[in-house]
Amino acid sequence: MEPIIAAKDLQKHYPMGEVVVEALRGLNLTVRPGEFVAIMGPSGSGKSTLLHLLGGLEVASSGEVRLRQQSLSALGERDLTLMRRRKIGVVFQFFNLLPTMTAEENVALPLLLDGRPARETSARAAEALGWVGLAERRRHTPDRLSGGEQQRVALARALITRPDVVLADEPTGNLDSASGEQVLDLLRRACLEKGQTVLMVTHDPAAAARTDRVVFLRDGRVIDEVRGPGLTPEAIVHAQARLKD
Amino acid sequence: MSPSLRLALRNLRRSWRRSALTALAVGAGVATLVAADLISRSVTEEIARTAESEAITAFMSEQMNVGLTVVGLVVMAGAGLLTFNAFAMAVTQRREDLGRLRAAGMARRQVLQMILAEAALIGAAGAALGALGGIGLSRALINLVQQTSELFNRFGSPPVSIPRLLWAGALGVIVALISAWFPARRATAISPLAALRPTETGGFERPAHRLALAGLVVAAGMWGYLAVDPPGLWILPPWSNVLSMALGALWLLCLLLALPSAIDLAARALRRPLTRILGVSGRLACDNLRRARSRVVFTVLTLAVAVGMIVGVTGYLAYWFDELFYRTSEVVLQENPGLGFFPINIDAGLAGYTGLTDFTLPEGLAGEVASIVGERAAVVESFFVLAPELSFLGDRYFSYVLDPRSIRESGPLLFSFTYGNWDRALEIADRGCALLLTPTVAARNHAWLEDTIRVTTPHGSLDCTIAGIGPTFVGASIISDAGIDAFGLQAPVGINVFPRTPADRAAIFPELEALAGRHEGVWMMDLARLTQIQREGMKSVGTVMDGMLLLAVFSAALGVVNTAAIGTSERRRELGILRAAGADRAQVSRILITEGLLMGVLGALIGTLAGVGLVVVYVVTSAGAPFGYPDFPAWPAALSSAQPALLRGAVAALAAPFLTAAAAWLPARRAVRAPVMENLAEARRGW
Repeated sequence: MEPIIAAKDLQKHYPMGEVVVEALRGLNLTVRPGEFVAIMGPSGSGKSTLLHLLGGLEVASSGEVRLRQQSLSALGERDLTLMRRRKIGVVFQFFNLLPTMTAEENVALPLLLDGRPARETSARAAEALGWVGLAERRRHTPDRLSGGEQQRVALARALITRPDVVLADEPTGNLDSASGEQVLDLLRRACLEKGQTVLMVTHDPAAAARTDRVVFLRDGRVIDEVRGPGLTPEAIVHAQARLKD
Repeated sequence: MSPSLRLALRNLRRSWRRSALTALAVGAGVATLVAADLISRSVTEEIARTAESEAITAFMSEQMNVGLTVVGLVVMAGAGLLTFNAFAMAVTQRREDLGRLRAAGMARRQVLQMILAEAALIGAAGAALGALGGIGLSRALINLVQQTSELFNRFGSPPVSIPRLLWAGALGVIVALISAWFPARRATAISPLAALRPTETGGFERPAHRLALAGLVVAAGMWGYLAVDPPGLWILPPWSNVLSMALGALWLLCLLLALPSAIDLAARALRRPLTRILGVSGRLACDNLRRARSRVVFTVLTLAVAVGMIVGVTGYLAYWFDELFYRTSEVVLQENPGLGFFPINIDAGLAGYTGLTDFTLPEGLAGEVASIVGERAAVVESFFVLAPELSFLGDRYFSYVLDPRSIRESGPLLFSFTYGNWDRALEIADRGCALLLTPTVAARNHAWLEDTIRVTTPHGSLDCTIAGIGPTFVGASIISDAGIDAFGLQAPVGINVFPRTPADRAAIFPELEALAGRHEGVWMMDLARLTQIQREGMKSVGTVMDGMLLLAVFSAALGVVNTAAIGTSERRRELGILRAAGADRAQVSRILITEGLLMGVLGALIGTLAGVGLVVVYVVTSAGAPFGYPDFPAWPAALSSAQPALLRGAVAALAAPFLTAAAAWLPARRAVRAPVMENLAEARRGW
């Protein structure tokens, strides 16, 4: 099967004063459609940078990201923006909802930016909110939602365009365990019910255990991976310990 | 160097754009104050060459100084608002930094010192800029007036007044310190824990609609009262001025109370149409006006102050010049214009004063004029003196010394009675010194009809009795001819001839013209032309005012750039969210520029409303009272004075949105060009 998203020899350097920090050093990764992949690794291993490059939020220093065979580096600013709007959904650790918009408007944001008709926008936002279990909270602004609810709204926003891939950066990192479970359930359901491809950065072995595959990063490279079915937190912790040695 | 000062200097370097713009705004205020003094002294130096010429013209420079100083103080107040806003937003923006400093052991007092040191340095930089800019500004305005005015075509070049320079500079620093005081106090209350919690940008802030409603009710009550019973028809100075100021302040307070709700309602009302036109950018722009209320309110207020001042000054000048000063002369001189003999060529403007050593007409000229005109015209010899007790405006407004009988014969141009009558007035004049005054001057001396005022003359004091109260020509007090000896006057400065009929005028004109031609240093002039030149001269005052007011607009524009920039910097994370969700650069720019545009429209509208309201309140509460015009048409005069003011407001309403949109474009451009992740990152760069 053709990979839906692929990174080839990806490098990212950040100049920090007189020093150059190498966040990614020739990273390779492929993800199949409908796959739920966790990316793990110690702080500074390049997890978030990888996610940002895959999502077109940053530009690679060298190497290539391909989404459905389309190279992101070949896209101009306008096409890259359209790609983010229509083909990529992003969920952040700190929810990143717009404080003046209601839950429904936040969910509908990519469609609103796309200039879709109000009726379509409203219907699809209502459907997405219903899917994450927040239909009755659609008129609430973020300050009236709990952290878990805000993250579910962010997830609904990421899913509303039926993107090729959802990129989640520590989506449970700022939530209590019950709310985190709900978000992980929804991500899993998105893969199973909608065939959604999901890449999730996490530090939490229990969260990673809910995925199909766990990719381990260190010093900007993929150093190992473990696959399901039957992934358990203990197996992931064991793999992490093995990699440290 | 103390740690607070060292950190203050670092903060200034880090936020150099914000600091520079704030210093420029303070500088604009200082420059206006310095220029006001230089311009008025330039006029004085050119024309006050003899005691008589000083008597006639000293008030102009004095009033110009007062008017321009008021403009300067308002520009300074605008700079204060801007400084407050800039520091308030900087404290919000640097919350985490301040938390870190507090966590590291910085005392509250040191935080306060650090922020006040920043303000003092900004104020000092502004004062230095303003001192230099004020000298340049005065030169530029003088050149502009010289090239455009028939009257003000020559100015002196006095040296810069060091005390004025120091006073203006010190005021700049004090304003910066006072404006930064409250944000600095807020900064001292920031907990060390702030360093651990990321600052979240807030959602909607509900304005206090009850306060707005209270403001509207009070304003409606005030306007209802003014409409039903215009107080100017019965009140007298100085109470008319007190009431004007009180009701003007009440009007501004009502607007201030209603402003947050007005912004909120406007943003709500415009949300749907702007969403239709601009898509989600329009919606977000409207939403953003309903949050960060103090930022939006202060930005709108900064603009409104500038626009309101332009509108108010225009209406105020229109009232004084069109409705008061020339109210009688407009009618009298159009029907049968009088003629005047003068010792200078008034048509030559201030250039006519060059080399002047004697500002009086030849002795005996009045007799020659009288023998030519006979019974066909009234002849009035005019002497000008400075008597502080009788000054209509300030302390150096001239007074006439005139023969009351010739005034009576000349018609209503020079004086007409609101209180008293000619028979009684002439009786008083025959007994000694008589005064014909406006109610303003009578009230200033706490005196009324038939009361005595002790008038200061160069040779001692002179007791004069008030023989009549009513409108005089351009408000100047009139002393009867008993003042000639008391002031030691030798010869008149002007001889005015008032023909009885247009036919008489046509008959005597060639003979009088020939008489003027026979005397060297004597010029004859149509009094209608004289009035026209005076009015042109007043327009030049307006030109100087306009120049100063442009500085106020410039200062307001700096405020908008600053607040737009800080506002953008504060919301960079949000802009990052939008870009991550697929907003293109144009969509993000449109949000910020539309916000600026809306604030511009609101600022111009509120400013116009404030300025026009102040003009109408002033006219209706004074209603000719300073001059004592009987049956003054308060509301028609108010509406007529408001017309040019409204025109200025309309120009401002068209120009201000472009100004603010351009001001918002700069930070918008900077924000949208940054990579998405740079905007999303918590670390904020200083502005």
